[in-house]
Amino acid sequence: MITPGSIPLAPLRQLLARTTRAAQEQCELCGGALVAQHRHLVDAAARRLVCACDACITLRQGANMDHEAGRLRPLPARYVHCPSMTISPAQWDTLDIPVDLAFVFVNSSAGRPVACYPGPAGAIESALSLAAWSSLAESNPWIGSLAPDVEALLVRRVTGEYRCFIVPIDRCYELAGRIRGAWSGIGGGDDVRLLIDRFFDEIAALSGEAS
Amino acid sequence: MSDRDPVHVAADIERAITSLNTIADPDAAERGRELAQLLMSLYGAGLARVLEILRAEGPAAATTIERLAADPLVSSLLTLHDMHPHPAAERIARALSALQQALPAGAALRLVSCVIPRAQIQVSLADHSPVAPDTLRQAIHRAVADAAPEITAIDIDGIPVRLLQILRPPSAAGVRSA
Repeated sequence: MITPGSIPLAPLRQLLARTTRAAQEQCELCGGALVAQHRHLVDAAARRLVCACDACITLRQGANMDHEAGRLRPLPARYVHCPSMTISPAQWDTLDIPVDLAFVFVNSSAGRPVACYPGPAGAIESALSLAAWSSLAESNPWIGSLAPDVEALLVRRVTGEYRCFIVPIDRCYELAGRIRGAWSGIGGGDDVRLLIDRFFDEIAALSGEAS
Repeated sequence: MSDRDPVHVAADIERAITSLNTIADPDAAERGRELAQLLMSLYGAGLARVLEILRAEGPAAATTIERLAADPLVSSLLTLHDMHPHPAAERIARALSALQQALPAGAALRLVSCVIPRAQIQVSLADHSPVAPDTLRQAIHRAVADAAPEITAIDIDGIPVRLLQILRPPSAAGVRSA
């Protein structure tokens, strides 16, 4: 029995998105025009990225950020290649992570870490308990340096190896969006694997990781 | 085309898009994409006009619009072009209800909240349910993606979150990867 809305037309959305994207690019703060490769601020409470022009971002990087209670935060610039996570292959397997990829960030307004798994409809989120996070940080001390809301730990398993980076969080949502647009079939398909490969190559280059 | 199952056509479209994306010559691939985008733009505009004309008829057309919204093919096209008359929450609820029918008895899927672009779904499974968590998660993902593409973040509660298992101290048996 076919039920309403069940013809899977999701692959066509990537074509639609290309035509409509050009029309939507406006700074959300001042309404000014934005170029395709524009920057963002992080709205920590709403947990979303705010499209912003360079002028508005510069204004918010001034000394008075505190009086907005840090509502809109600029993204950090660092990309850090982290040593491999202390997690066994059997433990990773129990996580049922689509495409062997996840990103984790600490959400300050919710007061807890959140793990996201990119998939065909975007990123599925899962809450981590504080105890769980502290325990993970004990085995992997560099995790503690993650800035809340604006940075994420990006982890990918490839043939038993774990590639981990600390990155600005907008890159993770960008990756999740692109995965969603390219997804086909059950496991995502070759397009998705290729785009993740290329994405990680770019991240590695930005982090100065020796190839 | 009119006598082909739309589900099969959708599968062929997916294959054709993948095939287009693998064309080595980027210019040729881009020309293919451009034609597809222009056609979608034109037919999408046509759909929008159909809805406008119907709506201009006033309450008399409400039943007809509902029938269009409930038709599997038309509904999917309307959703694709962001012009489905039902809000995202309703579309998701219907999709979850349909998915629930396919699950073992005792399983329940409930939309807890829907604030675009985020949806929160509560899963209740019977004890010893044979449903594999990853299969269910993927199925929910796909159902929501097809019914409400404006949703980009899904919180699913009720599927055992085995993430907590990773946080026992790793065993001594060489767990560190290179």
